[in-house]
Amino acid sequence: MDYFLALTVTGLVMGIIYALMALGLTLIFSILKIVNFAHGEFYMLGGYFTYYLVNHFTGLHPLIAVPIAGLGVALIGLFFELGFIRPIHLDKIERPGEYAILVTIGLSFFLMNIGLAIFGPYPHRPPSFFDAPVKLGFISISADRLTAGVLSVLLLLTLLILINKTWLGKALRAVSQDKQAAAIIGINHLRMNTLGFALGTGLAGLAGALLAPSFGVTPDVGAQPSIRSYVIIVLGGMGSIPGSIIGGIIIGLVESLGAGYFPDPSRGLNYKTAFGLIIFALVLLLRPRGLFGRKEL
Amino acid sequence: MKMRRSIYTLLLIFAMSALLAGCQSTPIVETVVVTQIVNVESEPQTIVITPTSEPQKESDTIVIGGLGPLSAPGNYEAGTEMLQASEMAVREINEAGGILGKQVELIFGDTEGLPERAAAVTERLITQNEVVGLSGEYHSGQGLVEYEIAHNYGIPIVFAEVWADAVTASQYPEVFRIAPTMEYYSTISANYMVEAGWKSMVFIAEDTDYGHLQTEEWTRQLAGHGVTDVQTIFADAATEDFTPILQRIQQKPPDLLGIALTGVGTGRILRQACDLGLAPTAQTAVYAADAQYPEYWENTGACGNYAVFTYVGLPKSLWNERTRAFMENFQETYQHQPGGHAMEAYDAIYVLLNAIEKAGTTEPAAVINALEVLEYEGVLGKIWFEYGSHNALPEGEKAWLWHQWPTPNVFILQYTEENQSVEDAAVVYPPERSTGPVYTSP
Amino acid sequence: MKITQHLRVPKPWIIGVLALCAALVLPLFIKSYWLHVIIVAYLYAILASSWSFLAGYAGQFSFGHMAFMAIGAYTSGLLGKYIALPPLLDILAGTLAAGLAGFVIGYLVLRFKAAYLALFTIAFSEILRMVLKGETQITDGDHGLKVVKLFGETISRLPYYYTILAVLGVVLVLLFALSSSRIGMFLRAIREDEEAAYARGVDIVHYKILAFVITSMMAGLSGSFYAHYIGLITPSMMVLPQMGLVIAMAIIGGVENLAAAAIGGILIQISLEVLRELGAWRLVFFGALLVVTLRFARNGLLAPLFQHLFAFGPRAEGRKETLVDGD
Repeated sequence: MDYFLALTVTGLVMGIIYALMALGLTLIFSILKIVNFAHGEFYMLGGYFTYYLVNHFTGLHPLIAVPIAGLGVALIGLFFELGFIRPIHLDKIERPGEYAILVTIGLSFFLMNIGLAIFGPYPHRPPSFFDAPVKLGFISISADRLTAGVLSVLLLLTLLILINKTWLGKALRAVSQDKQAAAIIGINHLRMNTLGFALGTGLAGLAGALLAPSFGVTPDVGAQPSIRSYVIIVLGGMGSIPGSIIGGIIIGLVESLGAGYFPDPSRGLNYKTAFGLIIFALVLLLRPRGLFGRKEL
Repeated sequence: MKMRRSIYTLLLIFAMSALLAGCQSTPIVETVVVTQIVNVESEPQTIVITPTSEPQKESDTIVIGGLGPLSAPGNYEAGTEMLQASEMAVREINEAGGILGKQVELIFGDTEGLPERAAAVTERLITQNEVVGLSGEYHSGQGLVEYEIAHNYGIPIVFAEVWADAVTASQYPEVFRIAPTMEYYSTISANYMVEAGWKSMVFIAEDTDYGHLQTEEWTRQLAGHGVTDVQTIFADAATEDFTPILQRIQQKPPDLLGIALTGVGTGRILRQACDLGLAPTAQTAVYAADAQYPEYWENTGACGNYAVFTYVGLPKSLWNERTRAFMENFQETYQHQPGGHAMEAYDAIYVLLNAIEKAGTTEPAAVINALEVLEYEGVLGKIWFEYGSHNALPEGEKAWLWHQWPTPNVFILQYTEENQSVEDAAVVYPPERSTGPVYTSP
Repeated sequence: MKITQHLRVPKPWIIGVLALCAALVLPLFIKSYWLHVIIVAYLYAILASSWSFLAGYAGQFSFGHMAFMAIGAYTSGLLGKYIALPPLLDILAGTLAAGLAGFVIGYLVLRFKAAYLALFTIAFSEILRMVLKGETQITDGDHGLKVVKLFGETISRLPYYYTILAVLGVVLVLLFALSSSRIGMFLRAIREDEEAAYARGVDIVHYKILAFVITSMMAGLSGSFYAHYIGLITPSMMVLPQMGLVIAMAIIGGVENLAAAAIGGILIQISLEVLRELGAWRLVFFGALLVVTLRFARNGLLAPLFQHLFAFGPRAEGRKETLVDGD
């Protein structure tokens, strides 16, 4: 029972952090109607920015570096959106659906390799937020992860308030529901798109920054989180905010319990991500709209 | 219209590429040694070495090949160190007048940690660059491919850090090795584990040749000592989150958590195990096969303390003059402390080039004969190859002793303080060299 | 131009024959190692052009192409390991296995719109890769599965070169034939407007699956050949960045122009080798090129060149003005 609880706690904490990143992806899909295939690379950039910030400004506590890193990543997302995605909505692009997929794939390819070229192949790790394991009864968890989890919850709550209670949030939702109607009542949908993309990529960057002390950073550190994010938003329902939160928690639990209880312990770890992928494939085949998604594909 | 667009785009691209070419990472090597990085088939990154010009195919240079991982999924940190050490060796030799009156050119091939790349790179070095000898390599999986190719072409190869027994057990004339073999190393480490009094072990190993061979050897050897509670878990070397499996292990904490992963995985496991309170603790010790890379402490923090690890090479207390000079020069030139594999790469180059010098020719058969009878005082100590065609391997002796340095230095060290350098770590095995207790518990 | 008018032979054919002649005599002029680079380049050309057909003609932006290649390679390899069939039969089996997989995947993704199709095929590819990597007892995982070479003990690369050249030729001819036929027309119709096509009686299911099967067989064939050429295969052949590279080749060459995609593949592969001194920056460069091409030269960089210079490619047939990308 202890074991089960320990696995569950780990799964929950990781799940919340996954949810944060997946939420970014879902926002982008919901507002801009595209899947950001470079999401994992923004996660990677968030981690690297944190590392370099702390390295460069000695004495800067990593917790302070996190929001700055998130902002930096959001800025990159913003500029990319302006240059390469806005044209879609200005009707300058033929076959926009395909283009959107391809251009973010291209961005992913580009960012990963520029990460390799600039940062080099060596694994780095920014210093811990707090350097002690935390014991809650019989469950041990690292302070870093717990911090990341708690901050993720706070960020998620902030975001929910933003989306539901502020004017900006309402404007974003309006654009996601009906672009033209929103334009009619005076909302600049182009600006909302840019904001949405920056917000979405910023969330990925924050997730990366939060997890950097736990896992370290390498140029390809974003590959697995990227795939995991797709899994979560499909499971939860593309474009659904509660969906990505619940989906994230589910996947976190599945990975943790799956690896923990896989009959052959020598291979359980190898297949950790595969569990999520299988769920993903099944959802796509059997119930494409996911748990909370809208009916149309 | 479309045509113009395309042309403009192409021009833009050329401009960008010129810009990017200008922003390369800083070159590492001076132009005394002309070194090229050979990359086979498109896969990411190589370290950029100043390419001054295409190497001249004149007969007054001696061209040798280096092998090692310089990009993922290989352990590119170790590979890069081996590259640097090899280059340093060649540079020194050239400055001292070269070999047989000629300058030496090193062409280092990036094997990327992938067997098929290793095969292609080795073939390229031999057929395209016409190297007269090969040295290096870090991964067993690659070595197992390269030795066959070297043998097919009859080119001598001196392995620096490949442990798979099969390589020298093949008894091919071309193959030499200065690294310990898997069995040799495992005997020492298994003996140590028994000495330390550990009775139950769990090994987490990378899912590669090295991981499989290593854990099989340990299991076998430990069983020979009567220790049978041994479990092995395989994981992808790039795994980020080991926590679920560590929690599983924590159900029944063993006396020893062994990590047979090279590179960044070791740091991750150590941190995550420590965060869970699994190891290192009074109950569970940690044995990390690879705990000497520069970012070790950055990646583990306080959790890296008390780890026991392998060191192939000479610990500081046993350095000879050459070792000292090497360590200083390397630190000065490359600004970081070299690991044991760098020492091996360095000595492998010297061994190969010395043999060519002694043979008086680059002709393979003569070089091979020279290698067999060579005695070389290296940074690793005195190197020689006991058994070969010059001294037949007796019946009943291990096959891998062929063309093998019989006494490579394998030490077991332990970190006793946070942020301790490898040089200052305590030597815990072999007993006659130890500088402290067999095991210091947290 | 005048000559062709007199001979009444379409320009594209002249170019094609010239290219073929050049390719046939190429080995005389280049060293063995570069021959290896070209052989691999031809493999990428097969992958890029077949993907280009699937994506550009049938509109199916699948990320499973490398998975089909791996299925071809591992089927060959495993058959060789456990049953020791002669290599040619292995290759045949690998091709058919990939085709079967293409059939299944094609069927499964019938209803999927672009993004879902991409995601599903990514998942398929990754699951396959993990299984191949994890089940080391069977597949030898990252250690590498040894495969018998197609031409046995021969060290020379020449037989491999001519074989793959022939395969590339067959693939291109087949793809061209398809694209200029009714099948090609239906596929274009499906891509442009699926519902309209359906309303006109086009059997969507049939043609979509057909596109998948044919292109997956081509990918599988290249995979099997690769296995029997290199002699050692690992799951790393199908990592997603490899898929990204093939996509980059097809797009930079020209997604709707098969020859351009193929040539794009060859040129990029050669450039990667030639530019190796740039190290990691090579791929940064191509990544940037990909993104910029998508944005500003949607039909690729080579395709418009070909169309302009040679009136080459089915799209240019009969239509000197291309209608896309209203400037």
